[in-house]
Amino acid sequence: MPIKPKELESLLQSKFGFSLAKGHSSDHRWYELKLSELPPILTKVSHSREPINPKLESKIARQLRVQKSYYEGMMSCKNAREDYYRQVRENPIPPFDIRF
Amino acid sequence: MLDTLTIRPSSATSSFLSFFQTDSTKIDNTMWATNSSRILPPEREIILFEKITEEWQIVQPLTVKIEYSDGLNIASDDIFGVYGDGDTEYKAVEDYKTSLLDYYQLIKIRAQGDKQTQALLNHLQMYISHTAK
Repeated sequence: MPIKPKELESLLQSKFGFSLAKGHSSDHRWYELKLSELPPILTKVSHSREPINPKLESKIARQLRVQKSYYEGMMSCKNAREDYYRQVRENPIPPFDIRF
Repeated sequence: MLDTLTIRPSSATSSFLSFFQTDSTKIDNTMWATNSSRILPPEREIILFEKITEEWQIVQPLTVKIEYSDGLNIASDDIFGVYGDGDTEYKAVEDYKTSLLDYYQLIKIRAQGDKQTQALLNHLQMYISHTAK
């Protein structure tokens, strides 16, 4: 079930160790997580007070490097912080090493 | 000339083709929302290759997917995973451009001394660059 942006921001920070990212010029709210040996994980959260659109949730899940179903588990407290970190290290989707 | 946008339907039937413009990012899909028959706009792709602010420009064609869901337009790419949204397609694309610049700025700050992030920055710099003075 879609959650509201504020709930997402709260979960990202309290449960998954993200922090508000600084250094960009717009008023968007970006959150970041830095795990050793990996590029930063950055995700943008909209300003809306409405529940997050399901298609937007897919975009957010991608920024978090997980599938939508895994993201839903994160939001419903099924997937814990350490599970998420392991998931991102072992099977990021999409992978970090996209070659250009 | 950098101010060029090409729109390419990805799954539209030929009857939709007349709706696609080929020379402007200023597209408003109000017609979709107000049409009583509620025909949803097809998912499609546009190519951004243009100045995005006074100081920044996209210097290599960047494919952006346009989707529509529950009254919301979403613009996103599959390279960096950046998205923008808005109640019109134009606003979604503008929000996407702002978000792409945000992403660039955030990565640039974090790239110093970090090999992985520097590689990502190098890739971003293939697409986004300062405008020529």
